[in-house]
Amino acid sequence: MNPSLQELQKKAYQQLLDAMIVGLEKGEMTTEESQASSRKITRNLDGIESHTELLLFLQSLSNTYPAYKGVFVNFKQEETAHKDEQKLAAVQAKLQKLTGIIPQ
Amino acid sequence: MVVSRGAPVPQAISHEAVLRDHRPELNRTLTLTPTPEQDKAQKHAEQVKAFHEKNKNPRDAIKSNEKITSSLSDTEKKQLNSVNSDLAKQAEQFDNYSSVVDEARRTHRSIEDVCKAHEKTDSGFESRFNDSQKAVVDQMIQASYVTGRIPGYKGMSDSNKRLAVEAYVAANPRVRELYVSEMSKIARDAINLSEDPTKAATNAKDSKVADLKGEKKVLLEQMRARLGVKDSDLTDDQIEQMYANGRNVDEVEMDMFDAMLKAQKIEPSAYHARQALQRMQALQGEFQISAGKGTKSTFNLEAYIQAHPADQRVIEYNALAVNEKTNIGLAAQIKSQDELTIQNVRNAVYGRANYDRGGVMVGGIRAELDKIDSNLRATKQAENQKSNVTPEAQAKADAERAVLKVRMEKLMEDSVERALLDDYDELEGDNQRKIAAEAQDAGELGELREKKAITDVNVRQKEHGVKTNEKGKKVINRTDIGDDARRISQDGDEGVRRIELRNLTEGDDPVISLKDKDGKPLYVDKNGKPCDDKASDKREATWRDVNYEQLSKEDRDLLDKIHESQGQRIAETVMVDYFFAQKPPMKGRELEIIGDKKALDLSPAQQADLARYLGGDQIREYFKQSREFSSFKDLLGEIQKSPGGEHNKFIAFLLLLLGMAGGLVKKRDDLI
Repeated sequence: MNPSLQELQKKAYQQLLDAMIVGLEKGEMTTEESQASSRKITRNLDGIESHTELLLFLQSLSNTYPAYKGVFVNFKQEETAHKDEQKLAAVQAKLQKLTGIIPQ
Repeated sequence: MVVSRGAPVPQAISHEAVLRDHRPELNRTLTLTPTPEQDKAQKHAEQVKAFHEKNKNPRDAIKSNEKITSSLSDTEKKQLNSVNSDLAKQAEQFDNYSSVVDEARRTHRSIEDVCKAHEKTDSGFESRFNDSQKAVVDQMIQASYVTGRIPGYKGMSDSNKRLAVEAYVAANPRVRELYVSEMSKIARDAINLSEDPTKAATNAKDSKVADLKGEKKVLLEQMRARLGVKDSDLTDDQIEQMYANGRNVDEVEMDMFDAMLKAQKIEPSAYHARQALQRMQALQGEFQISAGKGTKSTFNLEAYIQAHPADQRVIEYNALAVNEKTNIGLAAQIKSQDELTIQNVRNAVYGRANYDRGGVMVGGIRAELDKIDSNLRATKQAENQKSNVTPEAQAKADAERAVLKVRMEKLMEDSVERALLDDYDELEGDNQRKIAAEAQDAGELGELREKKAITDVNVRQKEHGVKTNEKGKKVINRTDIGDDARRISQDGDEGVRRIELRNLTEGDDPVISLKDKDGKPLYVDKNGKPCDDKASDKREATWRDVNYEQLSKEDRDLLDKIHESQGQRIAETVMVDYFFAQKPPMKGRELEIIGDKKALDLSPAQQADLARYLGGDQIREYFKQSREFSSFKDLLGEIQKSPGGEHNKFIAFLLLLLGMAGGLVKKRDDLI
């Protein structure tokens, strides 16, 4: 597994754990739901092979257990921002190639 | 409303806010009390948080939160036993066995270590585990719903059969989860069963008899205490014997008196002889008074007797006189010092006349003898009491038990079916997500054709394997699964490529076309070589025999790319479907099976080749180890070492290996 994916996985575990604790405390999740979702999380998160797969997993998880919705939204926003940056960089690279001007 | 520019806009007061009473002292009372469920969740959150604070690893904290299937409690075992003792025993054995396997799996320790740890506080634990393990596997190797799912089972050696059954089914965590939790429910349902009337009647009878015997024991003790004797001098059996054969309390009282004399070393016969003589003397006195003779010297006893032959007292006297000589001899044994003892015994047994109270007899054991008499009669009556259970009541109780018994009988099979189906569906779900992610990634990179190819190659594979149709029915294509498995085992990578080509050239809108750029079919000759449409032995090329060079470079590149990214997945899908199709776990569910089980037959060599292709070096290593495994204890140790999420695959590889280990293995070691 590449290091960035490992980092993402670690981050996902932390955020899911936090969401689970909050969900339990606020009564948004029952003990049984937290136990069943724990099994689902460990079983799937360990075998995640890409960022996209992680997002799909979080989406499916939050559909079953709404307490994790926030985690999916966070990761999705980060991914969108990351992709926007990539697109911007690509446009800037093209622009630079065409004009020879380094954008500020 | 007109609002001046720059002035703060007044906020509308919400409806709820107006209704709410804002006085804090009143609001205090409105605090919601958490429901028991919320309370439980909050406490649970504390536990998870505490674990995380201690271990500082979110993954471990989540892992520790996974549900553990609790073992059956003693009460549950008792309830199950009330339904059926044999099935209850089987349930207990499986629970014992699988709880240890489960603990080993969760804690990443060997079964041996788990047993040793328990042995410290629970002597005999390991021996009980071994017994349970043997019983569980013995039971499972008899069950076709287990053995029928393991390819090549019949050809396996006995030890490999046991290993395969244990690895595939007995140690499956889902089987434990489903079986033990449902068994707990059955135990709870058993609480509501009405008592078995025959057993209830027997229990009531036994209980009554036991009560009476307890009461008798007390009475006997009381009596012995009154008599001042030890139970060794006057045993329970001796006393009960006095009551035997319908003897009445008077007779028992006399026996008791004799027994007491004997206990005091006074021969009862001597005492009775003396009594007889004394009675004779008393009668003589009475005769004398009746004869009106004042003095003994003038009274003629013999004349009196002869004169009054019909007098009852005379008759009694004559009867006593028969043994007079003998009695004189016996009575001589009574010494003067015995008199006090005799008096004491008499008082103890018959009581003493209390003249202060008008001659009322006090003491004695008559009351105890009466109670013992009643007790013995009641005991005999209770023991002989016939059951008054009606056949209807018994039939109703039997029917209630039969329902639970059937649930218990079917539970293992149902659990195995459900566990394997859930395992399959879970694996399938993971696979679908990975496929979707890869297709999405390809699409985002602008590789739209590759995106479609990734989706199609996998979707079409389901058509040739196991698919769920629009009605939710599973369709299992044994014929194609068998063909694909043989194709991979025989041709390895090339077999997988052909399967991929098939999947990509099928359907209404295939990703790769078997036509040239002008839309004309591609041809091969009778030797399978490419040819044009003018060749006499031409035939249209199919995915089976088209030469790769006949495809365009773009198609060839795409095929390479798909093989690289999806090849392993396609091969594993074939293997998973191959196991699933052996005996699809569809009990009570709708399914459609294409082809019979023979379509799945692989020779031991083919099975070995399939395993080799799928597992490569890893399998070779596992195989070497598997032959050294003497028991599942060692095997599980190896499974623990395999990466997370790979257990199912490992088990499948192992079963393939065990299946081929039925004779050809030594000759074909080079294959592995």
